[in-house]
Amino acid sequence: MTDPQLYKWYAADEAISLFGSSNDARRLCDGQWVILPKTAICLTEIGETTTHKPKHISYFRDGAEFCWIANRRYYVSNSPLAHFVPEEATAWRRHEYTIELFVRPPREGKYLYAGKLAPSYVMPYSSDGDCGMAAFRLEPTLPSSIWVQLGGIRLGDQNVAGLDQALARLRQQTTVHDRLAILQQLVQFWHGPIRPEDGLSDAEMTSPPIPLPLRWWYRFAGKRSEIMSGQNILFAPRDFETRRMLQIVNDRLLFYVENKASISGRRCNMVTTRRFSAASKGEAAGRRKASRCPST
Amino acid sequence: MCHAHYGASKAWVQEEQFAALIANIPPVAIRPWRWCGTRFFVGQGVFIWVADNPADDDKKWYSVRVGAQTEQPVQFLKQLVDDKWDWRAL
Repeated sequence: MTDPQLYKWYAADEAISLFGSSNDARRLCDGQWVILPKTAICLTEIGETTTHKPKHISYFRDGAEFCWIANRRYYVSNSPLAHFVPEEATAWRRHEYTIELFVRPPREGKYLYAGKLAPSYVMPYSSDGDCGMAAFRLEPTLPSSIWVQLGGIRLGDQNVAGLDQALARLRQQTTVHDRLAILQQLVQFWHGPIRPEDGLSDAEMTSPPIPLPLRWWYRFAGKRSEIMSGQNILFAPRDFETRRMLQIVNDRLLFYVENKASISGRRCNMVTTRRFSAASKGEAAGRRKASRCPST
Repeated sequence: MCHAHYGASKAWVQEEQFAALIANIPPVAIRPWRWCGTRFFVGQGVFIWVADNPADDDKKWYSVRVGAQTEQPVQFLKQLVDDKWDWRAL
């Protein structure tokens, strides 16, 4: 047996033969997991990394974390609430198996050897929704060039110097339009070109009166909901893709909500002030010492 | 920052370590946000989010998240980040 070569493409049988005999292999989860006496091999398709949920295909959350998605209901383990993933790939059997990862884009024939996975400790599952996910730490970190080749990410405009120059303009006096132009450049750096069809049309903007920057955003990229909704949620001006809608609550415009709904974005006094406020619960949390998680 | 493919984060960073992180990254010239005095530093493809995280001692503590689209801009973190950091993708 020879060691696999990092980022080389292998046929499935070829990949398995690197670690043992195919005769000794147990194939689970429609062949996405192959269990050999000392090795668990993941051979799976991956999709694009996105903040959108739910997810139906495995993906790299970042360069060092791989999330395997059970694309249908599997019962391959006796572990309660983690029956969908082989226990050889989890922390319960962490000293017994090495875990090897091979991935391919959908409809690709061969798999790329991406490295070794640490046993999974995180395996969320809900009985009425998704079919389960197992998160793994990946070694070594996946290079962005390989990730792009796999179709897992699309890099935006990588003009670093141009972005630095744009942000430097904020040190001078600016108008709201200047600042929105800088925001536009920042968004395109991260997410690539924003197409005209990514914005909402006038006909789609059937919302209450809203501040200029918010209206500008919806017209610019209102259909790219993943950009402003990471773990928090920017509301939509209308019922669009079943997203939450802008609403007036106690004479305030509710346009954004923190993921646990303990903080929400509201525009105080819609006519006379441009300041956005946090809900009272969030402000109270902000005053506590050493007791909150500010990573939102 | 939710879209960063590479980077690192830690909830409790001391002042000296924070100073080393931002040594070559300029602040974004906007006012701190209301939530924990959130500030941003951006330069050379590196994006840093920082929030005050006061503790019941005399030291200054920060919650920090550093992110980038590709791995190259955040390679400098390898000298500053250890396994006590909450998230590492370097």
